[in-house]
Amino acid sequence: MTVLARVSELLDSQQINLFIGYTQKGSICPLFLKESDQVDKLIFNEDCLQNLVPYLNKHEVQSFGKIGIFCTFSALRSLLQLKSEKRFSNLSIIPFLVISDDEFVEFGSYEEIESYIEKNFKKGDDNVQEMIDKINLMSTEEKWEFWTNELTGCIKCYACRSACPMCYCDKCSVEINNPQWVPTASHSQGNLEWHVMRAMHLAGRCVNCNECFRACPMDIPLNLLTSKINADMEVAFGQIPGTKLKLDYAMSCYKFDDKDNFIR
Amino acid sequence: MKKIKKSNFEKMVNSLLQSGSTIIAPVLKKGKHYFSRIESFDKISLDYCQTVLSPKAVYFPSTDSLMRYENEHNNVKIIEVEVPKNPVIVLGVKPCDAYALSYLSEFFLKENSDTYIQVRKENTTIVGFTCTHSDDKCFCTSLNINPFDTKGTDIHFTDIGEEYYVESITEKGNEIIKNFNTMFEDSQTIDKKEYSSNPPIKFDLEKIRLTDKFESSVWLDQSLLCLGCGACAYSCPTCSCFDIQDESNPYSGERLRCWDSCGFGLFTLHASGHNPRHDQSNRWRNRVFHKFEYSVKNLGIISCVGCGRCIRVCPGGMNISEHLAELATI
Ligand code: SF4
Ligand code: SF4
Ligand code: SF4
Ligand code: SF4
Repeated sequence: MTVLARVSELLDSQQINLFIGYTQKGSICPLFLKESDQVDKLIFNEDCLQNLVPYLNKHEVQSFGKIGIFCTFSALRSLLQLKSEKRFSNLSIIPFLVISDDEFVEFGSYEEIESYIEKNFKKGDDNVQEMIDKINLMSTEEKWEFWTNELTGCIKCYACRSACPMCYCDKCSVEINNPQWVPTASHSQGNLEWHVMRAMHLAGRCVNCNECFRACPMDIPLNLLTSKINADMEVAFGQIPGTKLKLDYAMSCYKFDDKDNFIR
Repeated sequence: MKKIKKSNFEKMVNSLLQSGSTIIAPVLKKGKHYFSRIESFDKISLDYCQTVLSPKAVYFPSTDSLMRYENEHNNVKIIEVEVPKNPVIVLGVKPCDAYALSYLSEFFLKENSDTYIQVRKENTTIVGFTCTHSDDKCFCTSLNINPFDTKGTDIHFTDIGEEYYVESITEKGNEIIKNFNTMFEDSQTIDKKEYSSNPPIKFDLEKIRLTDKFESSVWLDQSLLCLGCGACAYSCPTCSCFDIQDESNPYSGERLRCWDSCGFGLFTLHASGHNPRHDQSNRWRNRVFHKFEYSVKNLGIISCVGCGRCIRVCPGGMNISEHLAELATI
């Protein structure tokens, strides 16, 4: 059975009320299907990179209840990470990982996602690693200059936040305005505070989908910040986000056998 | 009508730079064009389809200081902010963007004149250029804007090969021609269409009737793709919403005007916690209504110029031109 036939079947039998996939209209963009009549507009190829999981955080989308969704490998990781953070308890989600037109994996449970990720685990993008390696070699001053340069371009449009599966807070810290913790203005201090805060809130939660970078109209490589912190957290705590269904999160889980004394 | 040799145009720009004018023009950075301040002619890259952000920041910067204040033993002193009055020239502005700048000045100056923007406008010369590159996201022609129109410019250039064909539109344009009169020659009227891009018409504007569609389900369907950020509004040449922020400590502070977007949930959130635009469909509807209904009612102008920037930057693949085409059919 082809993946399109399977999606039609699920929609027709109302096992799902909505399918989120990709289509090609000039450029590749998401397609939301409520009925099977337009299923042939769905496409899947190596250019379908957008992580569609952030849509599941929208309450209009959640109101569909039973949803099928195309996932890339990192999107699958974001789904698992979100589940471990106790999201989507009232949603029934059927993720698909498409390999080719008639080769695909349909996941029936989060346990299946967990074991698929374990078996097929691949580290993120090589280009990202290359950039991180390059920045690692810089002196503190050079790093400061690199980031000051990159971040001056930020216009505080928050497309990075909107497109990130892990940025789902109902009220983001930048929206807390009494008092205003993080400046709204896109001046250098405001931009720096926003990005440091965001990187810290994603430390060990980022699934390396690079969606924030793809979303940014100013091409700021902010995925490097979260990826680098992830790498450090892996060394320090042996944790890789989006690989375990049970939340085991260094930034928030207390452990009796913690290596550090100060916390005990 | 006039014309100027390209070599003379270069000399003119360099001489304007030397005389202390600030020149803002499209500049190529990492494969994309941005309006930036230039220090020399060779930084200008006129060979572009669309800049990522519009030139609106020339009038309406993303962060604008409105005033400062100091507090000494409860004695509050207001310090006015002087808007710089040095001459600014924005060069390489396409017809869509020039049209948008004229909309922005209507919006900010018509009823209660905004002094910050007034001063900037007075000191800014808009040098328009006939559009030569369009892409599949451009739809100015669907909104009755021609890619060679001069509305909103002070002086307008059309690339005709070795020379530019020049139309002076305002007193500021006449001034440039007067100051460099040895470089400009008389020219016959030309048909600019032959030298301009020609984006196809994508929908029939006349058929878009929004008034009775406020409650339509189309807004929810269209906005499913929207992720609720500010990329479209911040890149849009006509979006004019802002948020007033006081950044202060007990001794001093500054009042800032920052860009804001109706795509954000926070935009209409009341202090009570109630949000009249409670989901993205309400916010998307507002975006379209503002541009095609409210601004027509308030100012008699559609506040979308079909530049396609919102489509290019949208992380969710929202396409206003396709959405308008759909609205024209229902
Ligand atoms: S921070 Fe960026 S790379 Fe990490 S999960 Fe969010 S969008 Fe993906
Ligand atoms: S998407 Fe880019 S420009 Fe927008 S807030 Fe994020 S980093 Fe800044
Ligand atoms: S239409 Fe696109 S750019 Fe605009 S708010 Fe929605 S997701 Fe952001
Ligand atoms: S709404 Fe989009 S196409 Fe229209 S003027 Fe704004 S950015 Fe350009």
